[in-house]
Parts: sequence; C-alpha cells; structure tokens
Amino acid sequence: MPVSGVVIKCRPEYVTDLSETLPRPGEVEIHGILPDGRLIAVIEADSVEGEVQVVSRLLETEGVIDVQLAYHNFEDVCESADGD
Amino acid sequence: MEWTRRKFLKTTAAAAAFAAAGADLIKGGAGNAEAVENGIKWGKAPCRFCGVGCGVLVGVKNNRIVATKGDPAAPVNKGLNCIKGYFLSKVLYGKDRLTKPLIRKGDKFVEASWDEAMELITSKFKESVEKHGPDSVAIYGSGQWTVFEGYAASKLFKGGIGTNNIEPNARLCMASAVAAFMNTFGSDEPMGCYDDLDLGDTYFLWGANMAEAHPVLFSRLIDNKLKNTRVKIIDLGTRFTRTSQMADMYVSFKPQTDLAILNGIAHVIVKEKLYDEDFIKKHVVFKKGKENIGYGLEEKYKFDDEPKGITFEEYREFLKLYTPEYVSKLSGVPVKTIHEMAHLYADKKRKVNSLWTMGFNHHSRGTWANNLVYNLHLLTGKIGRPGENPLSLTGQPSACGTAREVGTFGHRLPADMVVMNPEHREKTAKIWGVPASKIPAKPGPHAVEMFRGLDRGEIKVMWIQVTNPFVSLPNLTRYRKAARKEGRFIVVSDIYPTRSTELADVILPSASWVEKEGVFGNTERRTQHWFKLVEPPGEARNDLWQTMELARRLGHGNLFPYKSVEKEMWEEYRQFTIGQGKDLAPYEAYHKARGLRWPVVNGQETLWRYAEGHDPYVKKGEGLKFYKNKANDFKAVIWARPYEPPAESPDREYPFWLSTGRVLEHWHTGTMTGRVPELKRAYPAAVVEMNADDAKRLGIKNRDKVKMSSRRGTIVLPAEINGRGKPGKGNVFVAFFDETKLINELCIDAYDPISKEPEFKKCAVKIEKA
Repeated sequence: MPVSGVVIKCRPEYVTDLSETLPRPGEVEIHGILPDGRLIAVIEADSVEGEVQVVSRLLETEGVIDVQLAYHNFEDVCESADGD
Repeated sequence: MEWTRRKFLKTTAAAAAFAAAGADLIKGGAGNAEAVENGIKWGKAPCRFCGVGCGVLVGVKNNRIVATKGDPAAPVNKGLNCIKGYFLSKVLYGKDRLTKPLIRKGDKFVEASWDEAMELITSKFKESVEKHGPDSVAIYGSGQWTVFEGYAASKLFKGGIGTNNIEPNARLCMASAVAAFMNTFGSDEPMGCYDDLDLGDTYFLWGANMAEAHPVLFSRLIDNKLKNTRVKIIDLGTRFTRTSQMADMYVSFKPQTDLAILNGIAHVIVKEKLYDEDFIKKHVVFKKGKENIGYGLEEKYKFDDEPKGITFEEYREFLKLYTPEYVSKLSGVPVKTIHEMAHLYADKKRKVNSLWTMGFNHHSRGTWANNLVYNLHLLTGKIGRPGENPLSLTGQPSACGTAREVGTFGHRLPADMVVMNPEHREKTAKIWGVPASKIPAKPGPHAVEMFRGLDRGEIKVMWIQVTNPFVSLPNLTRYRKAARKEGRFIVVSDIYPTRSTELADVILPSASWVEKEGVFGNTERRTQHWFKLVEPPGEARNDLWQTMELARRLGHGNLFPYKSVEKEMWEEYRQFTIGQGKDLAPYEAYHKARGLRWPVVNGQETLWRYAEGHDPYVKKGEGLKFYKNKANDFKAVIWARPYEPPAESPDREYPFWLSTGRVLEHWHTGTMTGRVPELKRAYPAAVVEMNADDAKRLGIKNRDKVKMSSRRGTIVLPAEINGRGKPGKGNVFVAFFDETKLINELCIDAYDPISKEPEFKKCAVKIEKA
C-alpha cells in the first residue's frame, strides 16, 4: 500500500473544521496544523490511483484551496511487479 | 506489511510534509540529493510533466524507483509537488511498457532486434532521400525532448541529411509566444521569473486555468495572496474554473474578444493619459503589421507580416475604435470593468503581472494576443522590474529548454538564430563542423503543413519522438489517414503503446526520464540537469542514442564524435549561447544546482532580464535595456493589432463554441497519467462541460450522453453540468487527455499565420441528446 505525506492549504476560516472533518480511517490522518493554517496529512490507499482519488476528493471539499505532495512511498506497490 | 514498518513509513511521510511546509528553515537540504536512507538512494531531477519545472527527489532501491519527494532545495516548488507528482510512480512502470522494437507486418506488429529495426529505418531514409531528395524525410519531436535529444535531431537533419524538416509539438503549444517575444523584444523567453509571483500584488490571468494546469505556481500566488491582503487576482476566461474560484474578479468574455479587451484597456490608458511617458520615450517604438491575415486553411498557405513603423499619435488613432462601449458590445465585458482593469494596470502603486498560456497561444491571432498584452506593460512601464512583469507560461518540461532554445523548429537554429539568415547558418555550420551550404536556407514546413505534406505525399518518411501527434493534432481524421497512406513510412519512439504507435511502421521502445541523463529548461529560463538513476526496462533505449544510431548508419556518424556524449554535446551546444544574452553554464555547474536561470555569466544566474543590477548585459546607468532588439534601436515594440474574428464562429447549424484544454489529474494526451483501468481513475474519461442554462434548454441532464458534431467530426460524451468547470452560455469544453475519445477530430486546423500555431480553443459545434 502506498503512503504519502501532503500539505493541505485551507481558507483560514475553515482550518479548524477541516482538521476534524477530513480524517478518515485508512485514508486520511491529520498529523498537525501549522500556524499559517495549513494541515499536514498522511494519505493511504490500496493503490496510487486510490491515493489520487482521495486527494481529488480533498480538493473538492469546501474550504480546501490546494493539496500538495511532499513525499510518496510506493515501495510495496512496486514489489507486486506490475506497478499496480 | 508489518505494522511497525507501516508506522515508520507514515511517520516519514508526515515528517517530510512538515519539513516541506517549513522549507525555509531547512535550506541546508541542498546536499540531500545523493543521500542514502533506509536503503533508498535519492537523486534529483526536474518533474517529467508540465513546464513549471518542479524539483523532485527520486528514491531508488534495487534499480527501481520506490519513492519520490518534493525537493526542499528546489527554488521552484520548495519541497512540494502537485497531484501529478503521484503519477511519477507510474511514468515508468505501467504494465504495457514497450521493451522491444516492433515492426509492422500487415495489421500486426512483430518483435525485432534493434539491428533489424534500425536497418529497416535506415534503408527507408536512404531510399527516400535518394529518390525524392532530403525534404522527403522529416522528424517530429517534442517539448519533452531533452536538450540532447533535440540538439542531436536538429544537427542530424539540418546539418547532416540537409533538410529543415524538423518540428516539435511545441508548435502546437508555444509558437505564438515565441513569435511575439521575437517581434516585440528581439529575443525569445521571458524577462521575469517565478519570483514575480511572490513579489507582485496584481495578477491578470488571461485564459489560464493555473489551478489545474500550473498548480504549484498557482499555490505560490495564493501564498502571496494569503499573506498580503492587497493582492488582487483577476481571472479572464470563457469558463469559470478552480482558478476563478480563488480570484477576486472573474471576467467572462466571448471567445476571441480578448483581442478587443486588450485594446480596450490600452484605449483607456492612452485616452486618460495613464501611461508612463518617460518610459515610452526611452524604451518603446510603435509598429503596425498586415491586417485580415487569413487562417491558413488553404494548402501551402503563405504569409509574411509587413511591419511598418508608426508614431504614438497613429497608435492613439488606431485605439480610438476600441472604446469601452464598443469593446463591451463585442466581448460582453461591462464598460465599468474595462475601466477598472485599465486603472489597475496603470495604478502606479500596483505591481502588475500578466500570466497566460494556451488561451492566448491556441488562437488564430495568438501572436497578436501576446503582442497586445505586452503593449499594456510597455505603456505603463511595468516590465523588467522585480514583481511586475508579463509571464508566458509553458506546458511541457522543455518547450523552452529544447524546442525554443535549441531551435528544433523548421525555421530556427540554436540561440534565437534562423535558417533564413546566412550569417546564422555560417555560425551554426562552423560549430557543427559541416559546410554552411549543408543547412538549407528555406525553412521547413511548420507542424500542420508538415502533416499536410505527409498527406499530400511530399513527405514520405517521418520519425516521431516523445509525442503523440495522432491524438494532439487538430482536424485529426485527415492526418491519421495520411499516416497509413501507401508509400508513407512512420517510425514512432515511445515508452507506451499510443494512438500514434498504432499507426506506425516501426515502433521503437524508449528510455524515459531518469532512465537516461538529461537536461530540461523550464518557463522561467531555468536549465535543470539530472543523471540517469535506473536502467530502462528490456531493450528500451534513449532517444538520443536512437538518433545518433540512425546518423551512424546513414554515414553521418562524424556529427557525433563524442566520448562522453552528454558532456561534450553540452559544451558544443553552449558555444551558441555565449555572449548572446543566452549564456549557459559549463555542464558541471548544473550537477548540484537546482537549475540556473540564463544568462549565466561568471557563475551567476539572472532573475530579471534587461534590468540593471540583475542582468549582466545591462551596463551601469542604463537602467533597463532591451539589448537584444538591435533592429529597433534596443527598444521594445508596441504593436497596433486589431480585433479579427476566428476562422469559424457559431452559426445556426453549429451554434456552440467548443474549447479544448486540460484537467488537473491528467497530462496532455494521457499516455503517462492514463495507464490504469478507467474505473479506477480519479478523472476517468472525457466529458463535455456544458452551461447549465444551455443544457436545460436542450433537455440535457447531468451525465446524459450527448452527440457533439463539428463540420469535421462527431463524438459522443457524457454531459457534465455545474461540474468542476462551468463554461459561459454558448460554450462547451472538453479535455483532450482521453485516447478513446479523440476530441481533436472536431477541431479546425486553422492557425495563426504569423506563428503557425493551430486554433484549439475555438470551433463551432452542435449538440444533440445521444
């Protein structure tokens, strides 16, 4: 399962709510809120496409301005030899 | 996977995100590129996708990429990539990766050795050149070519085979920007850089959906806005997008009337004397060119502009027509808004930037649109200074570095030189070590005309590298048929099977991205290098090797006498740039640096061209100097360019405007981002975005299938209403990534007669319920 670390930029007035509503077990964990209102999150899914779908969903959420990718590990996806 | 390991990976991911979010605190990360951690070895590379040129750290374990990071030491993206960064994991490892050369036998492709494939290709090139001359063969490349691949192709075709039949797909993408840079400033590429996104306070986005097409730059812009309440974003478009959502002002206009709006803004600036008179006197000349210039729909259409000098008074007269009232009637933009925009552009307390990309370039008057936006900056003197510049955005990772700087067009040579100029041919031939007579003085055909030539039979043999023209050309059906006509021979080098490889006679498996060493050049003149980090799969090989191998077999091996290929080729290429205001650094300078913006003189990059204190070519006391525009006394040109309608406008039979474009999750024709089953994709298949009122009138509901037709083709797609993009009334929009839905079959192959770039944003269609 691939894992990624992302930075979620939010409209300032939404930050607190989003830090509570965005997490979903096995998909989105919020690891921190930065002083400038950005959220640090870890994304998980069964496949890279799954991760992209989670991020697309985050992007569609009201109050989310942008989701940026800092780190992406897909080591065990590669081990399945077919690249997903 | 073991729980503790998973926890470790999640902690690593979170830590990297924290670090990237506070990237300013960890600038010491520059040395990280070669570090080894947890068995993963990291190397740096620019991202493989768009023209922004984000830095990526690529993690390799057992000759396989297993992880990627935004590069914290990369000034472009400061440790953060956009959503397309996820697909970097997929670029190389799709199930259907091409690993062996394939030769067509009837309707099938059979595996062949490299020797067989190259021998066949060589024999076809030889036979065609002998029978029909060098102009019967051609190469069609890409803004995704590395500098080396583009340079080798140009050298072989222009300096070896003796034909200018070389074009990049950048003709479909950036040609209008190039033409306007040349006829306005006498030199290609921007004066400003991405730092202007952080330093300015007013941003006009002309038909550019940056939030989806250039997300990392848009994010920088939004960071500026969040920190500075004075920042204003004005988004002008024909479709309300994610970018529009974040803008302070969304200005909707009728397609093509951007030309009139730009003149309308200039009208107000001139009429109300809001311009910078001193700047104009020192730095500007006025010109006009031909009008009613046609659309290139005729075969072998010829056009040469006839620039004539005019006075400021004559320019003022020209602008008289473009009153806000007249422009408002044409464009649908309120009179008040035109005044407001003019005052924003001219406000001496505002640092104004204009940004654009395909909205201007995919335009049958694309060069004019580029000229007209420069006019606004030249009238107000807001150019060449930190935080206030026009910036033409690019779509491919090396449209600038390769297609434009190496000059892989039918008319261009390296460093802004052209084949029509005998001195330029002489200089090029000298560096290449070939007789000057070898390089033909007649420019090769531009992309559309090259494929028309293939259809007509003038071009018999064509090699296509790193691009997918049989999806991306306009009026596609004609050119797809042309490829399979009797007597044509098509070679396609790619990493995956595409709608172009299916039309080939020989398919060559290529190495991609970090499977080879390379250099790309991004939008802001930043030249970025990477080393080979993994082996390509199977028998796949670098396109550079493929081109040099053809050269060797054709007897032109002497053109590539290098032992250390990339280094020696770079140093040879670099000679073109030295002393030209386009100076590139020695090869080694790029090995550690996260790119350097040219001109690089004495090891120092240049952030703002033409500006004293920033550009080493501008002497003390000169302030600002357009020093490349010798023909115009080192001044820039304000062009009187009128509004003219597009080649095809909606009518009773075809009442809608069709525009094509991109979405966030896919890149171009989707060959790298679409290699997964459709149902699993985040943005699965093409849809036609419709205006809600139009849909209601036609009885079409969200997700209903609709049949859309132009005079050239028909397509059936689900309708999307009030989705991510919301076109204005009378407009529809389709993204072009979906290889199962060839939207370009509907597009007209009209083009801008100056730049020869096709019109992908406007044609007339009708819509029925399917």
